Amino acid sequence: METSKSVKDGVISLIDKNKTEITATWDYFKKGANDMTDSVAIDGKTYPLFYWRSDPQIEAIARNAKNNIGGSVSVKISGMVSKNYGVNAFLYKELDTAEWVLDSEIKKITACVNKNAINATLLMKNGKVALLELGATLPDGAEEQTRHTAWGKQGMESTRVVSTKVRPQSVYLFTDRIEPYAFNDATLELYGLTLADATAAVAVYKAISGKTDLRFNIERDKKLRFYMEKVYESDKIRNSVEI
Amino acid sequence: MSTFKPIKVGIMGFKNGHVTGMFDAMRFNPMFEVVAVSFDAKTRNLLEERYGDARLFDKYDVFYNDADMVKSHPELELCVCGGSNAEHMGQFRLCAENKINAIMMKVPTLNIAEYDEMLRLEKESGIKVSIELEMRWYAAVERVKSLIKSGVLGEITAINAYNYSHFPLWWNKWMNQPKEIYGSVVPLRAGDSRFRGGAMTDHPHLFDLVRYITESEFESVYTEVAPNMRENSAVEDMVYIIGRMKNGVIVSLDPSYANREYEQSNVIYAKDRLSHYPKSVQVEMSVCGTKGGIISDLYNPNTTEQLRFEDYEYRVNPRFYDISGTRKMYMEEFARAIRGGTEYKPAVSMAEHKKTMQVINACYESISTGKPVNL
Repeated sequence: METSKSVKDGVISLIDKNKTEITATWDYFKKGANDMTDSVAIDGKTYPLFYWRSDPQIEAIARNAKNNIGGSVSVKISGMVSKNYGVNAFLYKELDTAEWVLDSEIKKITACVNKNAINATLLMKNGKVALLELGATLPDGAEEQTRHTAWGKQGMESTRVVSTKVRPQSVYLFTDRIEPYAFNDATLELYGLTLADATAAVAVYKAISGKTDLRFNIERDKKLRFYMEKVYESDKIRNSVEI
Repeated sequence: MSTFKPIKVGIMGFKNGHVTGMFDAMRFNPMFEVVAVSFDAKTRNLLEERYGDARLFDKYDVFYNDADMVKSHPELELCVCGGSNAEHMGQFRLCAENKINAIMMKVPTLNIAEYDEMLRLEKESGIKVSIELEMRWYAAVERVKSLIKSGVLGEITAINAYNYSHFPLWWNKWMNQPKEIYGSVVPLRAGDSRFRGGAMTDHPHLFDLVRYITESEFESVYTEVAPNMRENSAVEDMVYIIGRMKNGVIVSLDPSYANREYEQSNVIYAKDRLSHYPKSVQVEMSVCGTKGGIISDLYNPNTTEQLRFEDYEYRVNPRFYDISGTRKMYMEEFARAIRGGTEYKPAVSMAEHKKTMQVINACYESISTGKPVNL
């Protein structure tokens, strides 16, 4: 039941379906063991790819944290990624998400690190707070299981509906084993890709079609790595670190 | 894309709830130029209020009669036939007689004589026609179909599905008027005060999907209608169908208006408050095979839950990628076929869709007779 389509297949499909003219040469690179995220090469230059900013659920949290829920006060990001994805890359991703959702830079970090697990509070410059509970515990290749929840003065929004623990799939197939095979084709343009690969394909498409400011990504990459150092510094000194 | 000459569009009716979605998609898409709109004054006022914009239609030529709009704008290349179901025949005839391509709503008409007239007009005029059947745009539908075709489930024995939604009777009042929704006033059965034209009429998707996925046609249907949940409903709101396809697959279909809505005469567009139930539309399907089974959510399980606004309304919202969307794909494909003069192969042709309309009528006949109906 493995899908045979790749992120590149998805990007090509999006270019075709949207009749987009792409003149630059491009390539996509999935995150390696020591990388913090995937990357895209455009005309020979490589840029970090913040693919999670194309995830429809996370994007909805970030958008509505500024609107429907009346202005956010906090966000909690709690989840697990695969061992081979790594807890540091997970941290990199969620530091970015926290600032994005809460619309502020980090002012103070307080963190505890234990091998493949990181817990951290982030006090933002605008007074809002983020809590990160991150673990890299899932088997290699397992789909990330993270709940992103933002609370606001008039409500909340979460990527997990009440009482669900893992990401629901669109199709569960029961055949020759106890547990089902699952599929989550999100959209016809990206049919055959896993949801994670579909999201990566959308992110690459946005990057190569000029819908993403890649200079922002480069600057952002430096800042996120700086924050990561501060997370480890906080754990080492057993105290908060002002940014 | 920049060289594409926009398709000149007229919008008729604005009564079907999907028309505003198409209007929004077209007016912001450079492949389309909405030239004129036609509706009644009441609908116009309602739309302006919903959008919170008293000048919403300032940039379009406004008509209060579809024929006047078509007569005044011979340059129209495409019309959205978005009136009540009873108005579709007249709107389609205007399109065909003036060689204007048409987008039809999911129920072109349940009057089969009218439907045959539409098919005749389509053939004689040569216009391109597309039916807005949104469930055909969902990837999970393709996944279920491909798994079945792969043989992994063995022989398919049963397909069960439901399509729940709120009932828009409060803000789209025509949907509770049997003449407007069903096309004629037909009692559900002897001694019943209700009429044809409720949930079964509004949710043809299940019938279409089963035909599409099984690649077979209905052999027989039996329908039970429950007492209405809503005292104000003149048409059926809770209804259950079982039946058999010609290839032997048995089906159970539940198109009920099972999700309660706010009893309000208007929908404030900016806040889109529709349902008490947190997710306004649900389409789920299970498949039984001799070697296995499928449980599926066809209507995008990638949701967020949300408490919002001053009353902390609880919502569960499907979330989609923000770059494309199947509605956009569907409309642009149609636009390219119109502009290029190329053959348009709709996912569902008018001729094919007639069979779905016939099945729905057979289900109503079953309610009326209290017996299974063979097709």
